[in-house]
Amino acid sequence: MDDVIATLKILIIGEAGVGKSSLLLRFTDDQFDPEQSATIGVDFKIKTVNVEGNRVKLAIWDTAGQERFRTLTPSYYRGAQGVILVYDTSKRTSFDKLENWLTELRTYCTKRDVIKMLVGNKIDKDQREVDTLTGTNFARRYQMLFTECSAKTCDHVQDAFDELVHKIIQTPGLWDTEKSNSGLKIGERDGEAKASSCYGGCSLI
Amino acid sequence: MYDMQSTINDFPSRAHCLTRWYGVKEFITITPAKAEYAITSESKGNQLLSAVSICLSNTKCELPIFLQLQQLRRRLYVGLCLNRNFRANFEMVQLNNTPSQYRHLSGLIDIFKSKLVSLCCSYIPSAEISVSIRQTYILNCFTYSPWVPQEIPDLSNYITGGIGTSDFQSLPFGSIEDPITDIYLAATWPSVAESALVDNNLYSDLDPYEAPLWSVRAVMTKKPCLLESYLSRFIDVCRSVESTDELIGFANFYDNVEMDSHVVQALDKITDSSVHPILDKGLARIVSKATNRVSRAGSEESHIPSAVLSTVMQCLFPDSIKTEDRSYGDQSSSFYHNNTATDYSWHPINKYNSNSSSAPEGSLTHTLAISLCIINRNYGGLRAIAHLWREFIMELRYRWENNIIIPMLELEAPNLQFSLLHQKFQMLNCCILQRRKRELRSHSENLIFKSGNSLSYGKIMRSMLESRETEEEVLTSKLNYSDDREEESVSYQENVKVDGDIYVKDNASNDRSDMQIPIGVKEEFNLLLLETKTPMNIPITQDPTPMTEDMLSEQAEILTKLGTSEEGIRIRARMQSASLLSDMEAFKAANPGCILEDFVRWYSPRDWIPIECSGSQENLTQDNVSWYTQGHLSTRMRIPGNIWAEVWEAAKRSPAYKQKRLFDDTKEAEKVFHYLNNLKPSEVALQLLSVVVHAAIFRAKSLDLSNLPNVNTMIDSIVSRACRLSVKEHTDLLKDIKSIECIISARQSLAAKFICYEVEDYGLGKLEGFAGNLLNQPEVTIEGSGKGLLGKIINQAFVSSKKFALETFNEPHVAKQELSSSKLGLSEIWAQEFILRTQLSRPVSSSRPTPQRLYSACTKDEFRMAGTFCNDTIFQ
Repeated sequence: MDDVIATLKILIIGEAGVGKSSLLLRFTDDQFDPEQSATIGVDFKIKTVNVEGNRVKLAIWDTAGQERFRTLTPSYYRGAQGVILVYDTSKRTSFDKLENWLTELRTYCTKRDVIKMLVGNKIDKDQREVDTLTGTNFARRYQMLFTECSAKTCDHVQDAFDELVHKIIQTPGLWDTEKSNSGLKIGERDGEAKASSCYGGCSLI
Repeated sequence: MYDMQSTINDFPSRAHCLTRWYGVKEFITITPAKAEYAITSESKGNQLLSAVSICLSNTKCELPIFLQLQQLRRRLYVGLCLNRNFRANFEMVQLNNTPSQYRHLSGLIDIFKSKLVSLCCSYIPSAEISVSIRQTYILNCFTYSPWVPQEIPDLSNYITGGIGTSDFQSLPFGSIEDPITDIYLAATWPSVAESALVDNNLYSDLDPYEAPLWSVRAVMTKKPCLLESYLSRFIDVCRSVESTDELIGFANFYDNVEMDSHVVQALDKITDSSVHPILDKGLARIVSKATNRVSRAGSEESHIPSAVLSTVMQCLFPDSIKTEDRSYGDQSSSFYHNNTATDYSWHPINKYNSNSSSAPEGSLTHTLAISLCIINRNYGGLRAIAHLWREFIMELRYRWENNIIIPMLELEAPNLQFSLLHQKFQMLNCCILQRRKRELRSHSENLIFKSGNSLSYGKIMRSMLESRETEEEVLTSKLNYSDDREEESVSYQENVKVDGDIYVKDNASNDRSDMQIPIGVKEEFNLLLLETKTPMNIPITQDPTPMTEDMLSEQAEILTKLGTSEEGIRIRARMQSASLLSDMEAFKAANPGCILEDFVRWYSPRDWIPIECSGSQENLTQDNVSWYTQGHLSTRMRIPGNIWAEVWEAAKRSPAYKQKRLFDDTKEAEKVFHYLNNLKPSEVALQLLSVVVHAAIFRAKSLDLSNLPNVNTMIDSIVSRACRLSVKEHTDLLKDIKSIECIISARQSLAAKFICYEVEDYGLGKLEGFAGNLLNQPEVTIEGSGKGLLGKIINQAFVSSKKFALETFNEPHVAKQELSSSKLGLSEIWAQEFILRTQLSRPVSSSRPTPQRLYSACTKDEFRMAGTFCNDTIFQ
């Protein structure tokens, strides 16, 4: 485990019953549980993935979608590098509530350039209420990555997480803030004067 | 090679000395590593020079190489440059005194020509020589605009102490000494033909006022600055190791606390706090004064003069200095009333970095940070900090024990954006507020119990609406709410109202032993209960528990530790089900005869699947409530033994106010105090460091920064870096803050220097722009040179400086004479530089013409000539 280059914190949010926990279960354990119980508060899972030959540990926090639980969750937005925003493609209401979730995201996320991904879940269901184009447009408007998937049939679940992790890794300063001492130092170049053993840059003659 | 011919490098404003002397831009220098190794013998120098020559031809390097000869301080360089066509020799002479014949142009032209003749017999003396001349004048006497570093400290206000600290609200700023030491004025004649100017020992055409080009340069030295010194002392505190107890003694403090709580307790017993809040507050106030005096007497010999201490404390807790007849709580609202909104977009730091863990300006934490910073520098360092910190905690504790809201803090759950200390203070306020509510409720229960118990239930129900109002009025008046705190009191009253409501209902239900009366109802919901077909009530629930950052991470860690096993997930869910349970219990109490399905329809509507519903959920909003009662729970809610069902089973019928508190204010407050008490001064300082830096940045930002783009960039860079840093990183940050401070001070100083002269025609704004330019650019060209308006202003500065110099040397009559003509400001040349250039065919007349150059500079104590002589290496 020593070769893990980074631990990323990813948060899954969205209305109750859109399949957040199922999505997570599919990704981490490649399972689907039709009897997945409703999450209480927050839950989390860990998975280590390979990104361009580097091992990256993902701590994925799954949250409860119920309104009443939302008072608990803001704290878990802290320090998240990626957020997966899930809606149910067979339930228009779950899509309509996305704006609220985005507001919450803006309010509580501490990292400004957090990577957001919109995921339309349950595409296996015949009854579609949100078509792909609507989802794409919405994601574009709010600068989010976008995919549709099904936790039940396993379609695109892996891709969604992969894309998100890639994007996080490619964003400088998002996950490596401690290591990189970023920023040019602006100031007097006073070293120059001393080194040249003369009056220095400012000297008159 | 051709650098030396271009006039761009004439008199560079900021360059290496070799560029200045030889006009070359790129070069290599070979210098002795130590002064002892100086090459003093000429033959050794020549030997090295030939080595350089071989080296250059071997490597085909086209850059000139310079050798430093003689003592290093003489800065004597000779050099060589080779390329395929030409060879250039660089030679130099340096003397301590200027020979009189070389003081002027004609003498220099003579020597240049004779040198060229000696180099090449084919030299035609008539060849045109182009000349560039610069004269430099120094202004370093600024008597007419002396540097006033800060507002002169008010001596009557003895408590403030150091310069620039008028209060404890903002940090002092600015340089202590004048950061501008000299102003150089250069008059330049760029590239003129030798014949166009006459300059010899008898007569000179070189009148600086006629020079085509004037430029000014300001020399700034970094002098000690106030802000920087306050900050660096504060950073030093962060490195200390002593604890508060070690610094100001253990016993002293606890005696006082004990004393404090003793008296308060005793008084609590005498006065029924719930009945006579005003009296109680008044008495407690007196007690507090007494104990404060005691504590101050105890630590008198120590650290902060008591007058200073009380000023600081008043600054931190402004509500405590108001008149006695109003209770503490009144004034406390003034701050948060304006800032209750949780929207921090107004907060400037948000624009840059929301993660800087600072505190809002004007908040308690902010003021505390500044106070500690000032106290630290002016009143005894670490011990003073420890002292103030202890006083501060005592005041907090006093407030906690007497339910007095801490001022200058937003009344909200701890805001995780801010410093942990700030969060702790907010937490304390949450606790105080919670406790106030609790005590108010028990008080209202008493009232109702006394008045309402004998009445029949129906009467109570009927009179409830009115009695509620009056009851509130009573309570409100007792607490002496003022109008300006409406926001808080409204929510407060609401709680009282509904809680009172509950109580009445509950009380009555007990009387009638009827379990069907809803308890703890907040409002009706537009649904009917499935079984009883009565309207569903939304219960009053417990507020979410406020948490500080450390509590959250602790909790997250516990949750994480449970791992991802099946068991772990279950325990985790159970741990977090406390609020679910509480909500369920409240729901049960509010809805007699309800079932889990009802609860789910309120709590998680998507887990309720209506039978006829074909997905058109718009009906939700319709009033057709009965339609909605047909349906079933979602699969996940129907699994036997799922946690929701389990918790539902376990939930008792109990309204929120009767439940076990999810948020134990007493425990949490004590935890906060424990935390605060255990902080070492260094830890306090470390936590407040970013607040102090923030305050410093905004102190700088509060000044006029126009025309100083560098400063703005620097500030932005500091802001972006100022994010949860270590002490070391803060030290680096401090350097930049100091630069900023210096630059701003220098700008102020510069503007002040010129502002006293006749600037009406020029305009103040333009002058400030000029001052800014002086700092941004190495050299500023004066429009219109000596004849322009700005030129005149500068001349005035020189004139008055000279006048002062003369007056000081008791020669007022001379001064008057000389200054009758305002032109005479620039009379004493500090330095004069010449550059002579020509083209010459060397070594033979058939060679191609090559550039020849002579640079000469003379000041009072140095004369230097640097010659560059080229010859053709192909046609020779």
